[in-house]
Amino acid sequence: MRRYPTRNAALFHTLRRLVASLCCVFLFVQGVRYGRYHFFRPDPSWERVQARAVLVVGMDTSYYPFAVMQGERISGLDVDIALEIARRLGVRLQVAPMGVDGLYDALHTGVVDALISALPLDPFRLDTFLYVGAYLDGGYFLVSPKGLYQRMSDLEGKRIAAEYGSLGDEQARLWLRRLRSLRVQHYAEPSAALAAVAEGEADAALVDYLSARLWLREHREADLRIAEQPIHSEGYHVVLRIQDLALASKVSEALEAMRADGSLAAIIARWLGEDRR
Amino acid sequence: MAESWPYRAGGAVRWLWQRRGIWLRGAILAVILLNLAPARARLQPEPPQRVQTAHPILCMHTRLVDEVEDWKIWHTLRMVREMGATAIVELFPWAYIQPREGVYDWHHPDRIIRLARQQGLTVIARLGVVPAWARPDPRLQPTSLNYLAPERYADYAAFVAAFAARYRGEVTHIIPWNEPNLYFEWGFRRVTPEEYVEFLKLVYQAAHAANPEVQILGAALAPTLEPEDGANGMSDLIYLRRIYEAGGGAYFDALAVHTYGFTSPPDDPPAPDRLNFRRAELLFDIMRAFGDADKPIYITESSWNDHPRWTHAVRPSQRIEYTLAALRYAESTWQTVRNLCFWFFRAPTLYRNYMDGYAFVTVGFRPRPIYEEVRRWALGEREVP
Repeated sequence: MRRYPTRNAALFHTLRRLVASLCCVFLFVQGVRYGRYHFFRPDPSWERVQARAVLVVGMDTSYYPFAVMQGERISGLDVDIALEIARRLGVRLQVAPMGVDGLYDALHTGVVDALISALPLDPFRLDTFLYVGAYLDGGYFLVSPKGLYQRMSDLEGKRIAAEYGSLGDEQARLWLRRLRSLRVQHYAEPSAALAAVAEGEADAALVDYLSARLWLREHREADLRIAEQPIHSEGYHVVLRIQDLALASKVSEALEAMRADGSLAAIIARWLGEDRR
Repeated sequence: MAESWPYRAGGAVRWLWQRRGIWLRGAILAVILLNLAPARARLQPEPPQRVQTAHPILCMHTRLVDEVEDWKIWHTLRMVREMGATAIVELFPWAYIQPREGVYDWHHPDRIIRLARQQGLTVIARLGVVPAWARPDPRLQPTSLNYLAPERYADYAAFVAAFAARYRGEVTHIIPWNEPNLYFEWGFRRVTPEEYVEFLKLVYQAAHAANPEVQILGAALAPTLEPEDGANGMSDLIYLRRIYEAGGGAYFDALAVHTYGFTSPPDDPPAPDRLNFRRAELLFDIMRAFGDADKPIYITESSWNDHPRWTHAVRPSQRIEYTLAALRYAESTWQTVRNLCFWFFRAPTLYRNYMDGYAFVTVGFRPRPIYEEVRRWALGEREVP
């Protein structure tokens, strides 16, 4: 039996071994838990889609221009993006039409593999869902002749047009407190606010991106430009279940490739007209 | 000979042990510093306020029952007062206040009512949500939170009486139940107006015995196109007529009404097969037909919604326009309407669906333009065209 010079030395030796053993057990348990969650957790999401050769995507089919149902036919910007993603993944696309309130439930319960339905990131749902690559920013942008006005500080002494009661109006009212002489002009619709800018009644409009693109598509003669950066950003994402990392990775790669080769911009331009920034 | 690592580790432990006084004090100090947090916001004493308004018809439906912090309740009520609204409608769940038979917890309603009175606001109390003890054993019969068997009506009446007695002089308007013409709201039991009259009779008598000043409002009916034997409920028009036919008119001092505009403007004419703002006039016609033309009416829920993804929503500009037009119309045309209350002022958290399009103020207390415009109207300021 090992001898110790003092009783304290024996006590510290035992204590050391006890602490070291506890640390080892703790590290082992944590390692197993972490590994099971991050490395050894089975993720058959991509294999499942491959085996079916079908990607099932949930969409709200009452939201123009993203997805609209006419008879048996569903068309729209989101449909085209989903078709292109499915083509790049080498599978067929199946659209599951549903109301906007049912989208997340359908994904959570596995009725669909993904959601592509102009869905902005919701921080509250990040524990349950993955938001992959914003394919479009549907937020609020300044629109002005030749893109003269890009941000709030450019608007000192100017007239800004906004849809009455909208988020743009809300933002413009906040700017009233920060700029010495800003005039906010209200209009019943974003299109009227944009028309006011085109006709010189206002210097800039603060409207949502979709309204701006759709209006500019119909009014090619108007020399208006959308600002480079949004005033209020609202990116639309592809949404997947949080455990479907493999599928999310494939979808993300497809989206990135679409962005890189210009096919994403082409699809958006097909539905919203050319990008005038 | 080089010392082994266990020996060196032991030395380190010994070194720490010898200085245990210092590091233990340091650790205690660190724990204290790390746990320092701002004190919970406390309300400063404030003198009683008075509502300044040019249009006392304005009222808001608040959602304070699930609000935890005092300052949020106070801030909500202060914003309601500053808006020019004279009254609030608030739900006080029976299940929260009487969690066990014979045991009352008035803590939460006390502070809501105290703070509302401090802001000079009238409280219209809606009482609902059945506690577990008043429902059947869930192992024998699963039921919803709205299920109240006829043999338990007396328990509910006793609760209403206790509420009326406690808040005598503070709360004079009580709405027993909500939308009893809906299958869901009636606890998934068969919807029968005659049964509601029996229920109302008990509540009315108990409440008036406890507090003679109290006004019992006939529960607002859900505007619905369901037929008389509908799967989801019964038409509000048929239901109210049958209440009167069963003699129910004697058991409410005023009537609560729900009327939503959906996508129609407020001047859209009423018709039995349409859901719009002026559908309320069809209810007034029934009251008139049964000799109740002068009975006061409180519109406890009304609104337009501007959620961008809801098919029954309108544009934000239309929402403001319709809301202001509805207020002007109700004030000038509906002589017996005491308050027009809008659903809803602010929610404690986001619903994450179309319901968010009803809010006047964001969860973070940022007033939406509709709040500003209704406030300007209520205070008699210039209106935005």
